[in-house]
Parts: sequence; structure tokens; C-alpha cells
Amino acid sequence: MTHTRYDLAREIKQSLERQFPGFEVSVVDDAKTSGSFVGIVGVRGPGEIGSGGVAASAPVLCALVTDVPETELNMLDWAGELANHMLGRVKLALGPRARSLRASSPVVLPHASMAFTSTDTLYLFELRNGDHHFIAWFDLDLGDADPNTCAEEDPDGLPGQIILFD
Amino acid sequence: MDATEERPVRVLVVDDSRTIRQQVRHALEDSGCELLEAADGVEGLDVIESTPDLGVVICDVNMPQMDGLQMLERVRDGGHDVPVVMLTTEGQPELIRQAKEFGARGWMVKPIAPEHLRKVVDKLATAAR
Repeated sequence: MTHTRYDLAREIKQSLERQFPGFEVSVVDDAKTSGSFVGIVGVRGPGEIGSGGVAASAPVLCALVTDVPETELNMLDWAGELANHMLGRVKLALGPRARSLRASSPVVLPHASMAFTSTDTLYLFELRNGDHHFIAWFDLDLGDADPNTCAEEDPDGLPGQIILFD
Repeated sequence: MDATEERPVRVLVVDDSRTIRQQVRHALEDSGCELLEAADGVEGLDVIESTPDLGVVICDVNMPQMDGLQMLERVRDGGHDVPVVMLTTEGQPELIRQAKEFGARGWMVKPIAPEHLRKVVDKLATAAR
């Protein structure tokens, strides 16, 4: 059995819902954003290449981080780090299927206007919480990886936790 | 209480994200730590080699120039035994195993949980004294 587009979109959506509990997550076919801070992280593996990203306004980014003043430099940096966090959590949720993927350093864009259209490998999501909304996307092709292969670790058990070695 | 106990723990945070460095600083400064920062493994190695009384290092994995695991290996090759905790979005067992082999003392998956971070820094710094 191989991945269907529906399978992967559902798993990514569930991961986003766990990461952003106050937000309603929708799978969308098209999305536009203007004046956003954009963070993009590339991933690569032995036979895979892809990326994940986020496009959000400064107020939304501020609402998603604590202890960081709202400066342009901080918001740019946080957009990249948020993309990194999201991709990391999705990788954890996908378990062994995404194990070989390594992330790049984030690329960030200020005040960007972007338009997206979903494709066979590009998964688009809109996250909304009242007036706050942002776009997340994942361009991933996991090939023939078995979608029934579950994560070895509880993906919600790791973030924020510290494993201390003996 | 003697002078040694009163000295603040010097913590180095190595991360290419300035927001993560600020979050770590905010989490630890309130508990009396003195924070040093580096934006990649090369800078981190420089600080470690020039700061003999460093208490704990908190280090990202994916960074430009020199990643966290490469830095960790260089730190141990250089004979430094400062406790290092990896702080990253990565959670693959192979990377965690590699960090352990290179002498890391712990692995934390982002986002930062300030209370957990404070407890671990306190525990490692106390054990190292």
C-alpha cells in the first residue's frame, strides 16, 4: 500500500491541529497572502526532496511566540523558526517514513505576496483562530513509503520534553 | 553559603535563531544564570574554548557553518567536559543516539518548555560543581 494524497494531507492536518490547538485547520486548494513574513525550510533525504513553509502577518506571529519583542528582525527570524518547528513536528508524526529527511536552515522573506495552488505533492493548509489566520504548506513526496508505518514515539510526547542521558 | 555557590551559572546557548536564543535567555536569566550566545557551531566552539568556567551548553542541531553534532564532537575532541544539551526540532532516534555517543547529556525537542529547561540546567550545573 502506498500513500494517497488524502492520507498524507490528513496526517499533516492532524499534526497541525496538535501544534496549534486554538486554530481551526483547513485543507485548501488555493491560497494567497500579502504583506506576510514567510519562512521556508527545505528537506532532503536519499530519494526525497521537499519543503515546508509558513506565511503569516506580524500580529499572528507575535501571538504564536512568547518573550520575543515585535521587531522586524525578530518576526523574520520567528517565521523561519516556526516553519522549522512545523516541519519537525510533521516529521515526528510521520515517524519512520520521514526519518531520513534532514532539514535545511530556514529561508525568510519580509512583506511577501504569494499565491499557492495545491499539486500532487504540495499540501496547503489555512489555520484560523478568530481574526488570526495564516498559511502553511508542505511540499513532500514520500514515494512508496507504507502509510501504515506508525511513529515509534508519541509525537506529542517529545516536544518540550528533555531526554537526559545517563 | 560560600563564594562558589553564589556565582551564577554561565550558560551558552548556540542557535542560529535569535528568537530561540531570546527565549532561552528569558527562561534562564530569571533563575540567576548568566547567558552567553552564539549563532552557529563555529561561534559556539570559540566561546567554549575561551570560557573555562562555562556551566552548561544548550545547542541546536541544524545550523549553518557547523551543525550542533559536529560542534559537540569537536568539543569532546578538544577535551572539554562541559555538559551539553541538544535543543532541536529533530527527534530521529539515530540523531539522538549519535548525540549520546558524542557525549551530549540530554536532548530536548522544541518548543522550549521553560520550567523543564530551568530544572535541567540546575541539575547539570549542580552535578558539575
